Amino acid sequence: MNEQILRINDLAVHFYMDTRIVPAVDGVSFSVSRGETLGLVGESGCGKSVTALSIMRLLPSPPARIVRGEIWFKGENLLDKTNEEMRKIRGNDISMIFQEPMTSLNPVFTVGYQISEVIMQHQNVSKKEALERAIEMLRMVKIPLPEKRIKQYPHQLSGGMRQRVMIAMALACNPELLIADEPTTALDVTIEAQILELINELKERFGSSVIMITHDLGVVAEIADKVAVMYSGRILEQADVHSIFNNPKHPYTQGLLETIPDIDLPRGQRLKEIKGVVPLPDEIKVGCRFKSRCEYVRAECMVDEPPLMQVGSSLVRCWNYA
Amino acid sequence: MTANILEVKGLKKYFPFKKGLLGKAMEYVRAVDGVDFHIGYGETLGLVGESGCGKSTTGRTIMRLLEPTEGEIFFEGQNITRFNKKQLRQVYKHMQLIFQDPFASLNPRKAVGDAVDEVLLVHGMKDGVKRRERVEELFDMVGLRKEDMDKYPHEFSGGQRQRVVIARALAVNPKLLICDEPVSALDVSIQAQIINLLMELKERLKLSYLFISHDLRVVRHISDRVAVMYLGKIVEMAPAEDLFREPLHPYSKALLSVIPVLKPGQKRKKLVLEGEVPNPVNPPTGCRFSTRCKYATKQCSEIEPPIKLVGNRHFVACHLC
Repeated sequence: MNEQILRINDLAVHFYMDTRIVPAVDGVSFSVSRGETLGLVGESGCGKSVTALSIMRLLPSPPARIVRGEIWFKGENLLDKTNEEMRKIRGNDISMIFQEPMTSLNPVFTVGYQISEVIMQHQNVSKKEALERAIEMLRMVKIPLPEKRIKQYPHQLSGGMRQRVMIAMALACNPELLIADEPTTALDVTIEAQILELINELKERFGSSVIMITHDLGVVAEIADKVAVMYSGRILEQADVHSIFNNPKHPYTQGLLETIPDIDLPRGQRLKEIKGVVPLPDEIKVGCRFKSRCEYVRAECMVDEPPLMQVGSSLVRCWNYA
Repeated sequence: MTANILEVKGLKKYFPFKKGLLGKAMEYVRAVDGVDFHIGYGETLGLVGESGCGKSTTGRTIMRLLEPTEGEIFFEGQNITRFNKKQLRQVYKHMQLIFQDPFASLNPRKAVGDAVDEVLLVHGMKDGVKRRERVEELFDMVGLRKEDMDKYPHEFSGGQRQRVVIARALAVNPKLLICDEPVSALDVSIQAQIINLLMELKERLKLSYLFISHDLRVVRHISDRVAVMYLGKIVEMAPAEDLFREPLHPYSKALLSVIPVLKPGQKRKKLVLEGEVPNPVNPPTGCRFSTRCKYATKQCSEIEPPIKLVGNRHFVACHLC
């Protein structure tokens, strides 16, 4: 089945600062089908988290403003929704997990209270039923002794446990779309493996769609069905996960993959570098956004920005494929 | 003259945790609990482990930024464990530390050139013109421009700031650099630049590194030998190639098996560990990994395995290896 659950068209989010306008997201389009996992990859400041927060309509405004675009979720444009309507969607149809499990739980309420609050907000159940459901959710994310845990406060849990609680809370109402923003970045590798395994398991069990935002291509290779590579507010390449890793087309994607000292490579050799620095979102005004760091830069890259072109099964924003 | 630039013997660092009556410490966090290793001249030793395993504390205790609770530290054959501040200043001419966070380790109100200049002044270079020349030379060495000297830290990106931090560490011509997560805070495309720089400098200046990181891919790439820490102890130590090809300790096996690979669809067998690292205040008796080890026997939970040689420079602390 290939039913699109989310479709973003030409989304642009600008931040209105005192002296300048920062186009954090500048014309991003993608879709997610039911049961599919999209990996949204990019470095700091590329706009991946802003894209996610726009879907949730959680951007602080001002300074942020969605200046253009549409976000279609199950046939309805989320940008037309009132705050009241969005509150019903958040946590119910679309949930989000954040990077910092330490700061995204309320320290003065018990874990059980926080999960049951979500359930009571969206479903017509009693407090007792909600708490029972909270225990069930904690058991599902493999927290031992959930009956005991629901009475505990976030500081009594470890980082990995807190992230499990966040996942339990996010999944409490069986959302159709789960947005995970760097969910394992703050965690150790062995805990990361546990959490990725858990997300994969739950995805299969509930058939939810997932948007996985990360800078770690290793995580993407493990979990994503398709991948969008973002840079400076734009998508530079979009393709299925196999094409991205086995046949990357954009010089930035190629560079990203080559800079990682993969464990199968001979060690001690000089790593391939992407020269220069990650640009600020408002730094590049004309031409291709990657031109100053690109090995294959050509004359037209300086003047015009390439459109997202279909090359084989991939979409690529690069003049070398024109 | 020994062949090792650094030797660490039985190093322990306990932090007082709970104070009892009369303010006497009752319990201790055993951050580092008996660690032995050495680093040869020109060698890079990688120190890996998860957060809280004691790898950073080990680095800081070697630098004597933390007072060791027990054990001895030899730098170029000299026992520096009880050195006073004045003596340590001499040691710091040869041993320097690079921290993880290039945002926190530079003074925001000081031009970066001055930050490097200050180090030279502290270490007795009185001639201002010479100092200026040396700072220029250092900036060139780490790939920064001369004009950058008068800029302030906020004008730089993370990668460039880390270059300034490296320039500052190199100012005194050290022989040993202790790098504590030097690339972890950087973007992926910038990490490779700094890794290459560190490897280049090592060749050019004949440096030795203690490279502390949780990123196993990076550690494998840069290290000659690697030590794996768990709960304050080294559980395995071996040449990088051997360790990554055939880890022997059950913890190393699990740790290395979960490194995400860049090949979608390739399902490697992952050994996902159950549970979490125990509290270092009350570490398990016997082998510290026994509570999570699926091969653990009665012996493991009673007797602590000594670290023993099992192959070419390959050490393991496990009863079953």
